[in-house]
Amino acid sequence: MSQQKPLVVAVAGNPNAGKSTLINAIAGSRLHVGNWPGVTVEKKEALFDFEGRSIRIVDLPGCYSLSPYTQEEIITRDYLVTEKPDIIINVVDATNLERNLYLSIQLLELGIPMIMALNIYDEAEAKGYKINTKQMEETLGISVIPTSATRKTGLEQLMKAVVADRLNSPRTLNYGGDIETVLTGLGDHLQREHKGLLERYPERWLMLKLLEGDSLIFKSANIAVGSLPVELSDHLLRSFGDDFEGLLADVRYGLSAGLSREVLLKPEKRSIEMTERIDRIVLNRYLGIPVFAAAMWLLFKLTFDLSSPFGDWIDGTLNGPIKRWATTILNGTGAPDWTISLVNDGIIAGVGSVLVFTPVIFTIMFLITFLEGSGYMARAAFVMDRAMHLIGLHGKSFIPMLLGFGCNVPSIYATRTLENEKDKVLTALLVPLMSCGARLPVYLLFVGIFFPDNSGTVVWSLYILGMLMAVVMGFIFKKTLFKGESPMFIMELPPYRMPSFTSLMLHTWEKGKHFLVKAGTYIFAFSILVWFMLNLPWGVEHKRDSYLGKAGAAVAPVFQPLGFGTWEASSALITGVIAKEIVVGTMGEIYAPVKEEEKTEQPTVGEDIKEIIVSFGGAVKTAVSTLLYLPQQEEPEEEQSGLKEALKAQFTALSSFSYMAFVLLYMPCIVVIAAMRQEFGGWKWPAVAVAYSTTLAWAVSFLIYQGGRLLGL
Amino acid sequence: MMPLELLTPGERGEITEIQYVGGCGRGCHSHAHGPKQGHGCGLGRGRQMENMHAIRAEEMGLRVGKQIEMLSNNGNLLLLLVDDTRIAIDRRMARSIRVKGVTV
Ligand SMILES: Nc1nc2c(ncn2[C@@H]2O[C@H](COP(=O)(O)OP(=O)(O)OP(=O)(O)O)[C@@H](O)[C@H]2O)c(=O)[nH]1
Ligand SMILES: [Mg+2]
Repeated sequence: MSQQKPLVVAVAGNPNAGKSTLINAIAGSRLHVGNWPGVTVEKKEALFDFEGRSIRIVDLPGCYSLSPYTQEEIITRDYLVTEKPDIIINVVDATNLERNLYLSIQLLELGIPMIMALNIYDEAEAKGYKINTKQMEETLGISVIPTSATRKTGLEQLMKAVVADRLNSPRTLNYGGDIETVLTGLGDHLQREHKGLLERYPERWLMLKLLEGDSLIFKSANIAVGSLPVELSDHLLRSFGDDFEGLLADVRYGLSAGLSREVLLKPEKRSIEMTERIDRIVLNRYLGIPVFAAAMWLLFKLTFDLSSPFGDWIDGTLNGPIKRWATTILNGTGAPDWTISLVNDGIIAGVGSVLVFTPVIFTIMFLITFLEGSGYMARAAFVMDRAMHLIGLHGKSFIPMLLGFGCNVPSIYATRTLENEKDKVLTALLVPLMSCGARLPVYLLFVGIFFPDNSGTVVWSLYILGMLMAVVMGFIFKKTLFKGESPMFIMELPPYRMPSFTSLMLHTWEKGKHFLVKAGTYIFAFSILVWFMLNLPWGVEHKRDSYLGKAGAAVAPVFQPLGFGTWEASSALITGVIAKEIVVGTMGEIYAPVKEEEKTEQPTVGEDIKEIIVSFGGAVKTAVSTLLYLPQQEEPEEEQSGLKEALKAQFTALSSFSYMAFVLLYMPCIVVIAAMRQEFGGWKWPAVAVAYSTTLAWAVSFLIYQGGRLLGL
Repeated sequence: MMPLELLTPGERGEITEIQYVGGCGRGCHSHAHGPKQGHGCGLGRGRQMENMHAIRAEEMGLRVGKQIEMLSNNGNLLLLLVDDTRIAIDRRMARSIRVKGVTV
């Protein structure tokens, strides 16, 4: 059994029909899901066993038809026609039968065995829809199984049908005498002249595409456009005119409309749904943008209030007990002094100062996941359409940008859902201006010191600053590099949905995990590297004279007019080009306190552990009471860590804001640059991104700092 | 028969025509009604870029004969309800769709 080749199951269907959710439910995978069309933009696979059979299930981007319109739809089409999966699961949104069936009919033409999952069945039932699946099975010749991917119902039956060897004979649509005659003629012609093609592509699908004149197919099949037998095309032209594709479409529409009319019973009266009520406010002409801004503000307020007590707790634990333990252990093994410094002032200070922000990252990822699942993403695109027109894009480009608040990397790939190359490149160039999770640690470090009373608002203002700069840069690009109109806008707005708690947790973890992995791998490695750079040449008295210190001092004059011309601030910016959290890590190392000699009375391990637990309890209490706006007893300001003290001495509120703006705007991290290169093939656009963003960062920080000084701040 | 844009929120209409803009000089071509006016684009010309938007609209459910309800009609985007799905389109696209009023 186990020697068998895995059964390849392709999952295809309309966007937002629940394909990825279904696969996650069946295979236990954690594919990205979200309540808007166009979440999946890449082919993704999951492996699992069902009843002793090993199965490779393939998630594909959603599509409305097999005539692709955007890049991710091309991926789906190409996979289905060239890779020949063993079976297709066609995921159909049961609340939207007619439109979904149009695609199903095209899928049947591929001649691949198929099972239909009538998904989102729960919502269809709640709306009072009655669907006659028996009749659908008879008409289409395939099994039709009601499922709910979110409630995990019908999945067992679905998989049973997939592995069953039951005869599966998809019906193909008969297009009527004339066309069928031509198809037969074309079939003979292909048999004679292009036998190879018939092995590569499903026959009937290929013939229909050739008749439709699909230029992509002519190209990839390598057939000259005029080489089809003239009598066939003449015949068609005479009987149907030139819009043969439209004609085929009409036949398919007719069938899908007819079938859905026959099998679907809708209640007489349509009830005004919750979705409509919410939309009246959220999409309102005047309220739309204020609602969006308020939602963003709430996002940061919640993030900050909920997570900062836990951050303080991690900070305290790392700098107190953990460092003490490390020292004790290393001393015990007789390690030389420099390794103790490497561990404490390098690794723990470096990685630790980033890890402190784990709670923040997870909180914001949680809220973003909630936003993704709620259905608001598509609304944000709607509301922002007007603003996006200023910069020669339309509202759909806003979705990749909004995703960028989590991490910029998936945003670059999300530009695939845009209709044309110009929009894709321009959107990708602007995405780095969206402040990603990795930049939060930098803001939070400074905000905690210089703006303790309105930290949420200051962080929010940085996000807004990034968006404003996107408008400014977009406008400049529109006038220079990317002239021309944006394509027409058409997008489906899904119903609002309440994401389930477990799926929220799971996908928050998926997003936040990335941050932890980064901290454990290259931030870890970099901390060690930075420590050496700060301590070489061997035996430097002062960190300023180390390699990194000298490099920082060399570029510092460039930052003088921006308010942070110190070698410390500059070297943190140098290392931060790898990933922006490293700015914080490097500062942690630079400002690691000079060894305090001979502490009196080391607490015992037991006392340490007790302290860790007690302070965690305190963090929970603070978080809950901030959230519920309970009055808090003023705690005496505890002694500040060395990092905070040192920063206080080197920055003012104004220069810290200028520094945060610089970190926000200056060159994207290397992973984003790599993603751009991969997506747009070549170094041109990554180079443009690096050049413009660094220039912009300098200009904006200059304006902030010098402007602020003029105002007497 | 009137342009889709003229429906006010809450009003319903039935799509009577979707114009293909551009194409091979046809100017206008409606899918399901009227005689097909072939100008000999010939087979193999492929999908006209200009028509792709109209084709996509049809695939998403905006087709001749469909009843729609206008949910929102201000600014650059319109929100339509078709078969219980909400579809947002922009004004340029809306101009190529004609409807006849339907009383509820
Ligand atoms: N009520 C209900 N909601 C569902 C069901 N299946 C999926 N959803 C929701 O539908 C939305 C879309 O799910 P996805 O799995 O991302 O859809 P997809 O088909 O992969 O979408 P694309 O990747 O954009 O093509 C999510 O908000 C899901 O929670 C279901 O059976 N019932
Ligand atoms: Mg998906």
